Amino acid sequence: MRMTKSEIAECLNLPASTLQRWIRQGRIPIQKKGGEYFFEPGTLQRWAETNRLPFRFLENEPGVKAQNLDGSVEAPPDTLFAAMQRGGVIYDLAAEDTESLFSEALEKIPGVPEDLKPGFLERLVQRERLSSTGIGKGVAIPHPRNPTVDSLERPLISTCFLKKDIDFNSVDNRPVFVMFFLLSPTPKHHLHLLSRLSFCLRNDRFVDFLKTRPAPEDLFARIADVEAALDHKEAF
Amino acid sequence: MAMLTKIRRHPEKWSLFRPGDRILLILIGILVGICSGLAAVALSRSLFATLHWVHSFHGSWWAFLLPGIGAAVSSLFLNKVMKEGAGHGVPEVIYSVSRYGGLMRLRSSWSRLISSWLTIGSGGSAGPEAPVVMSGAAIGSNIAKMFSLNERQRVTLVGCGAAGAISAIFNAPIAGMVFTIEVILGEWTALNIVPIAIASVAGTEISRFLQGNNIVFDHRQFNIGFVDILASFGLAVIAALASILLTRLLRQMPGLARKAPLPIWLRAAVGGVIVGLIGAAFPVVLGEGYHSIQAMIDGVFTPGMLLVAVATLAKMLATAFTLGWGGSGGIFAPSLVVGSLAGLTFHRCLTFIWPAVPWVDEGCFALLGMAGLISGMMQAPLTGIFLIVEITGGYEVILPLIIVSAISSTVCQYIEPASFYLKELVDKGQLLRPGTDARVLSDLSVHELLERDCICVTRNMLLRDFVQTVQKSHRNFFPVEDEGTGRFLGIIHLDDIRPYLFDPGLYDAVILEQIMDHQVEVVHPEDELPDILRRMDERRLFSMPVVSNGRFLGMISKATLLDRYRQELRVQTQFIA
Repeated sequence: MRMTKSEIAECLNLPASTLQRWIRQGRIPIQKKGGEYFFEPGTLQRWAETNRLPFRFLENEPGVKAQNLDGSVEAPPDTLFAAMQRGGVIYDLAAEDTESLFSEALEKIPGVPEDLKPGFLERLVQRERLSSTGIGKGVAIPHPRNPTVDSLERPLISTCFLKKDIDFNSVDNRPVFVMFFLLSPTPKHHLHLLSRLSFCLRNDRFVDFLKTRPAPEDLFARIADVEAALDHKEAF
Repeated sequence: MAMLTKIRRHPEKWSLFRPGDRILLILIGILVGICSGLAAVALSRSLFATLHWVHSFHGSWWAFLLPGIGAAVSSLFLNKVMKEGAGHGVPEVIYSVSRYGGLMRLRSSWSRLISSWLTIGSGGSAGPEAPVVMSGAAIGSNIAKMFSLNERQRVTLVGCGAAGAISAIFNAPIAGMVFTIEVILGEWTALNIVPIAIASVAGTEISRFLQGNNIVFDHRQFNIGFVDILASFGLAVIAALASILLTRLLRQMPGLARKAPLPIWLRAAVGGVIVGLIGAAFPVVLGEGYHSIQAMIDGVFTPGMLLVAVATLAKMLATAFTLGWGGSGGIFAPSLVVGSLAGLTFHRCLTFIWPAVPWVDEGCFALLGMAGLISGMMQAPLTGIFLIVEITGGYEVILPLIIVSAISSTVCQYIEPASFYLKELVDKGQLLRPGTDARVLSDLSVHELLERDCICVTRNMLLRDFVQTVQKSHRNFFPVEDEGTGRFLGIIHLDDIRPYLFDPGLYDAVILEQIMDHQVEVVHPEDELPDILRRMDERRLFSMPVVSNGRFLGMISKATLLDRYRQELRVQTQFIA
């Protein structure tokens, strides 16, 4: 099999200069003829295994480039828009204390398997005991203490409007009127979505908009607009 | 013809060699062994003839001038015609193996043969073995080049050349193999041992074919008693001391010679004349001395105890004058002569002190002394043992032989940590044995360790913009460059500026030039890794920026170095199938 030096170096995740030296010193089963490099894929694969070097052929699809060394494919971080759509919007939660509010919400959130609900509830409450998730301006973002245990496959944010504002020990002591339940499979997803959500909530006009308890379509349209602006800003 | 060239250039294309390069290496090893065997036989035959011819002048008053003339011509030939340094040969081969993957010049394959023939043939006290080793090694290296083999294979073929040469000159295949592994290559792998063994056989066979299967120093049976075994401990110490003395003399002599305000060839002549004068009193010191060794082993070497002791010193001096003042040759044969003289001296002392004890023949002690000297000089006990067993055909002396070799090399190592061959290389840090720390560090270069994922910033950047950059970076280091010229100005380490990062009041008030580290320790791409590591340790750094011609290239860090170091060590010590 024939490849260029830099292609082989990339396959082995080595600097090209190291590869060149190894070929010259005869430490790697690759033959150089003229400007070209020949090898038996099987032999090289075995050699890489005995030397515990990663070896994989490059493919031309761009998605494969993001592949990790252990072969797992990292999903692109989810958008706020998609996560919120998955979580849906719930109106008029009636419960009056934190714990029953959480359990009522978990019952209504779509896409949470029945057997995970007790675990989520317990960890949501645990997190709440550490410190309030009420971030001010009447908004709370409850999330489980540890997102990685028994997790969902994809993150979701469920928007829950309360029937009656409740006291939530928020940082600014204002009663909470809306909760965003954030359930995510990994800390990375969690932070990504949390940072985007709080970016939206920093805008007072958005909070006023939420106070109108908008219909799901209006809410999602607004989120999409804000997120597009955010993506545009990040690109620069 | 074009077809033939193509096949020669790409031997791995032959279907026979598909399974790997082992068969290829073995076949080429045979070729190398034969060639270096021929070189060895050529030198030893011509020396034999020349010494015989020169011997006829020994009655003349001017005979003492002969070694001077020989050494001068030899020095002129080597320095002016061949343009090679003097040197003994073996250290050069080891150096080439350590540093250049066994690359050697074609002319080295015969230049030493001629220069050492001139030196030794005229009566200079030196050995033909090292020149033959160098010649064999150069043959191996150039044959490897002809087949465009890689460094690992070339080093093996250099070893084949050396092994073939020693095997042929001593008619001793095992000694050739062991010498190569122990002294020249310093590495014993399944891959290199087979071609080297085969080359030893080829070299020995060619020598037997051309000059018959003769044991170099034939001798009678020795009956070794328990007292002799005890005495061998004493002999080992004497041999070790003699080795140290000879090593020191050989090392000091070139310095002394350099002080003489003479051109290089005239110096060699002066040294040669001194040797000639010593030789007039003690003919035993002249030439490579194999005849005298045979006489001593046979027990027909007549001079008494004191005379032999003085002759031992005389031989050492003669060797130092020959080699130190510019003659060409090795220390193998002189070591053998000094060893047998030392053994004889020791035996005569013993019989003088305890005349009633039934000591073994003095030839046996001469033989043990040789082993002691070889082991001590080269700090290679196995070479000493196998060489003496093979060149004397005497397996019955193996027990005292092992004792003398082991103790002598241990004592020498204790007094002189690096052997005569390796001392200079060790001092220069050029002895890079396979699989050692020095080898790995010298193979890795700064370029291979560069981490290029740092984001460069400019000196006029505001702290506000820098915070954005920090968000995007995976690293804690930010090299600062001049925006116009791209010149490296300094570096910002996140740890140093952490307090300012969280102070928005400073965001528009501070530019990076005000907070960067100007006095930063930098590395140049040509710097040696041991040196870089030492600097890191001294200043307790974990990473340093690499800067070339004022431009930032990347970072070098201990973490990456450890990663690459382990990788390199694994690859270097891993056996390639």
